[in-house]
Amino acid sequence: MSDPAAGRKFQVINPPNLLKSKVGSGGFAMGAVDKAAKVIEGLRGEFEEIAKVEVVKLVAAANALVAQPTDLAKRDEVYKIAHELRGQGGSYGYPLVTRFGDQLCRYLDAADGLDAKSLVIVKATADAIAVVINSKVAGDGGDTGRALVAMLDKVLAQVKGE
Amino acid sequence: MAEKIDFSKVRFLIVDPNGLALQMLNDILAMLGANYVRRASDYDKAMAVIKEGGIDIVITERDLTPLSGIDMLDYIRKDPASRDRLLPVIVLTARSEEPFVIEARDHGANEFVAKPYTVDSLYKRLAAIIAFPRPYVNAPTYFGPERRRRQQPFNGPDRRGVDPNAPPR
Repeated sequence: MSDPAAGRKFQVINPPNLLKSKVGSGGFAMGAVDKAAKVIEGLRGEFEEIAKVEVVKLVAAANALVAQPTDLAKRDEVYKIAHELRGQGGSYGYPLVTRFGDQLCRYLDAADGLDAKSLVIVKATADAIAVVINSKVAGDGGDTGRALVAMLDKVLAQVKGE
Repeated sequence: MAEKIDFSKVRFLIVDPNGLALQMLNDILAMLGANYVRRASDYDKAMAVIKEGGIDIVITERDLTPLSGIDMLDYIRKDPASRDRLLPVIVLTARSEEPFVIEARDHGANEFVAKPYTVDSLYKRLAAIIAFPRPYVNAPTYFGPERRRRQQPFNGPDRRGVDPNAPPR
């Protein structure tokens, strides 16, 4: 190990900033970020149509999991659909889809084996996501949104308290 | 962010298996002034574009098939055949939990954006890559953007072997 170069473990590279020379400055008009945000609103209807199909799959997958709680493939299917909806809902004005989807994924991640109590939560959360999409409970959902959040909290409290 | 950036000459590759997510990202970039956006719905299609060369920024979902966005990062940063090991990559993913953030960072992602995202959050990451690029680090177990973001005063000797021949930024 007498090679002096061997002691050099790190090299820091400052590459030329080609991108900066490419973009220049003063490109788009001010407010373009806000305008771009409106693009998402334009796609909301498309999201709603796709999500309607996905929540049917989600509820079916949750029912299948309730029927066969030890089947890991069924659990993964619920997780996959919920995770995808979770990642998109908030972008299209459906933060409750993201919130409930997040709850469901975290629960599936944390649950150490799905007993009867766990399945009640999984089913209730999947159903809540379906209600949000099917009833177009956008934004915080107002009274309906608060009622759904309260309903899920109650289910969770009941199941944990038993 | 007050800085205005002209994206019209920047060549983007966007990768997402979800058609609507891909459309949304494409439309957002178009609204921000991007004229050149290549789209790919899976790993293989994305890799074909990367291997062609000429892309300036990649924005990719982590979860792709048959391989992942992390595998794509590994190719770009480490593979001897990679045409541009310094290619900026933003991981834009629903996998927003901390282990996935660390994973993306440790495989050389320049930026990480969690879904659901806002236009503003994406724009800020793009601006960061262009206006304030981090140096790259070549270490025995890592090649990619410097993982330390906060610049803190350090009075000790610099042992990281700054390359004296590297061109100025």
